[in-house]
Amino acid sequence: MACFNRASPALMEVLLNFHNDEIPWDIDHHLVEFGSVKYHIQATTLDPRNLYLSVSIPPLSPEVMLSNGLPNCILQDIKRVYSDIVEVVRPSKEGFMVTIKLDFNKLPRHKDECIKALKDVSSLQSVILCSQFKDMLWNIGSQDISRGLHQPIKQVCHFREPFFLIRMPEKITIVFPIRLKEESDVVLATAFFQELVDVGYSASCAKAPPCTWSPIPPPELRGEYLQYLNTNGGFVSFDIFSCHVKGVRMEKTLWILLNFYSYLNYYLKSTKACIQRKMRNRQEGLVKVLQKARIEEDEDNKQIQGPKSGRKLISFPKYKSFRRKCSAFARHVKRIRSPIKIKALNRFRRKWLKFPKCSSFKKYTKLE
Amino acid sequence: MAAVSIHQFAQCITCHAWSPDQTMVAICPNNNEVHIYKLMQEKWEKIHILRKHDQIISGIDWSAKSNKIVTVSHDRNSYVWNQESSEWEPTLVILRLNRAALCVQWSPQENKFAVGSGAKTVCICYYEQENNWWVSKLIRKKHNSSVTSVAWHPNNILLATTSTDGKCRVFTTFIRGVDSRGSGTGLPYDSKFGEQIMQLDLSSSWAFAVRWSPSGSTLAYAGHNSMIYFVDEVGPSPSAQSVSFRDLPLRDVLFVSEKMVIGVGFDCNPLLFMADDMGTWSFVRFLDERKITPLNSKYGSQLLESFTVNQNME
Amino acid sequence: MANPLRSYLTCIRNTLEAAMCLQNFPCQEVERHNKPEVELKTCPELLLNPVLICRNEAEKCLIETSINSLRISIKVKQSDELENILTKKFLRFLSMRAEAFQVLRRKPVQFLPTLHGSKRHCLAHEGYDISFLITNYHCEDMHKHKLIDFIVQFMEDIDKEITELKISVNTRGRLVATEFLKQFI
Repeated sequence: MACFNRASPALMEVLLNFHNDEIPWDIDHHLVEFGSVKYHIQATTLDPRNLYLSVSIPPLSPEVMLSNGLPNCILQDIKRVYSDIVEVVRPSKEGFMVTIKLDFNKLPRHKDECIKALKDVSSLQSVILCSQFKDMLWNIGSQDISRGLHQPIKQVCHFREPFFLIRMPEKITIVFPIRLKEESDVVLATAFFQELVDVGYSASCAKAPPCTWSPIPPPELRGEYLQYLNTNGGFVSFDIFSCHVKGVRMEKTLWILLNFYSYLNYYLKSTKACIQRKMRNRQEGLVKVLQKARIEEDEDNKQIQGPKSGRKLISFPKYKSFRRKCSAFARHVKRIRSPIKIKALNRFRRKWLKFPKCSSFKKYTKLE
Repeated sequence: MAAVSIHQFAQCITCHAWSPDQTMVAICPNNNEVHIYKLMQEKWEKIHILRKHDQIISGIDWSAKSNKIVTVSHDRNSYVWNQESSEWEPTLVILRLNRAALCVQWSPQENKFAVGSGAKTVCICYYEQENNWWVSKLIRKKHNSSVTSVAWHPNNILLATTSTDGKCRVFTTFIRGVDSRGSGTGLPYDSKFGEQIMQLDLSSSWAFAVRWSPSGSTLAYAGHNSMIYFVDEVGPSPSAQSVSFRDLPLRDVLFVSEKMVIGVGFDCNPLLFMADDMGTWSFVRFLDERKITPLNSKYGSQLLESFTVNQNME
Repeated sequence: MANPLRSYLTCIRNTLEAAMCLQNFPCQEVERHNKPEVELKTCPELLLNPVLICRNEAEKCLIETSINSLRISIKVKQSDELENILTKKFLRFLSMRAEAFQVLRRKPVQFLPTLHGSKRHCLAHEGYDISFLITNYHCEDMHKHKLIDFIVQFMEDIDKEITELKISVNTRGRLVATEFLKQFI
């Protein structure tokens, strides 16, 4: 599952530490995120103000091979985004798509601006991804004549979350086939899609790409392999018109679409947490009703065997299971961060456990 | 009429018995002990705890003349307790039961007591002087389910039982060497031990709480279908009256006189039944005027309070 | 009683009032045992006729009574998939915390048509969503009317909770959908 956060928090932490430390030190870090995005960070005491960052991300589509490094247009984008603090090193490090040299001398002096710049660097992966995506969209356009108009293109983004792109003369349709593990997730997601379609028709969202949901594959996907059309949650499609990808909007729209699955999964997760919370409240209320039914021998006993004992019974397993889950998650985090353990990540690990506090979820209203 | 006095001995009382002079009460606080309380200067003080059983005690009876307490328990045993100096000394009675004992009552002459059991049998226990030993004789294969209540006829021979098979039965319990023939019973039955005199199949549900009227001419018992049955002319051709009431079923009944019966049960309020001049029984009223509304009933959830009230009136 | 739910619950309450006349009763079959007869069902004479109270096809309540125990099985209305999922979730949540509710059965009663094949079991072939088991020990421990209050409130609360959860899931979905689409603007 991808994270909405454009900047990788782990990478950010390493860069900040490197930047803040007075005494230069050797760095040779490998980071792996989401099981497929690899980073390599290298710096030496000999060259204390320069840091080499290499990135490898899985290809967006199986049809696009990136064995020879990134195409020129993406490198152009990187240069454009990072202006002069970053320099693309050629050839890139063995096994990585791109290597950039980060010159710390050129970072802005002002602290906030400096942090912002480092954050931008940390979001290198998202820049590449968006750029790739954009590139592909234009490429589809250029191949229209030879391939025929309505040919869908299967895109692979983050492994198990493929989606389809269909190019029409006036629009591009993006179809997300929804596959969910749990039956309850499917029901919750279906309800959500219905709301999504409803809201899409309302006047306030008229400028957003029109969205549709259907339990069966849309006609555009006729002829695709059955294995790709096998869903339990139906298909969500967005129609992208030229107005949605004009200028600066382009990047934003692409990023939102790339993160649709993450958004959905996060919605499901927090909705379930919300349901769980409500259920717990109700249960506590009911336990109290039952406690009140008890016949107390006298006032003393009343105080001892009051609602407390019932409370204890509930809270104990809850706490235990929560702790178990946390440690399992922490272990998981540890595993994906091997082989080198970075002590400074402890702070982030802890931060990640409190999911809703992540900065990028600002837009996500927590509902009661 | 309200309760004369209320005293809470325990959260739950499973059974109780009054001492002959009514100054003491033996109760089982829903465990394997019997607590004896004595009324001293208007206060009930716990003076004895009888510990011998290892499961919950299901029946207590305190003999009026000989001052003996008999207890029965789900542990299948029975003890007869004799007061020697200030202590109560137990004597084990082997009931020869393989299921729980459920109820007990001394015979009027106090030379026998009867125990109803979950083994679908009734034990008649009597004392053998020569062996210094209580012997149990069983009435077997007459009941189709647990025996919930036993009651002695004043003649010391007839025993009435109720069972969860819904029937009320009357047996003779003549024991050679203990009872003398024709000992003022006035009954023509020259029958042997355990013979069934009568079987009543009036209730469609479980039967509980069988009692004889003081003279022994009327028999009353309760059905779990909120009915109380009155039987006259106990014998081969009995006459019975079924009285139904609109409240919850009874768990115990008590003859106050030949014409007046009090029933206690799941309503937590004693019911008064009376017979008119024609001998027709009917429900008269609740004994406790304030029909305990659920909100302010402070005591045990079911019938337990009623027992104490009932016995206080005795 | 204009409210049909009210009259359904009142009917259940009255039935429970009448049925909850339990007493300590040792097992007739096994020595030194004391088990809820309604679960054992080995002695038919110790069972009363079960009572089935239906509000409609989808909502019903089965009350089975024995001399020392009482079993209440409830089928909760589930009019669509979302309600179905929410009911399942909520009832499983509660069943997993049955130790907090002494009278809640860990598993709802399932009636299998093959079981003994008796009439009693043929009353309902399908399973219930949640079951309570009340024994004489609970009645010794608790005020009967408050215990009944609890059962009735439990049923009421399940209905209320499912409705509320459904509304909350839908409202939440709508807000999140709006937020999602607003990102584009």
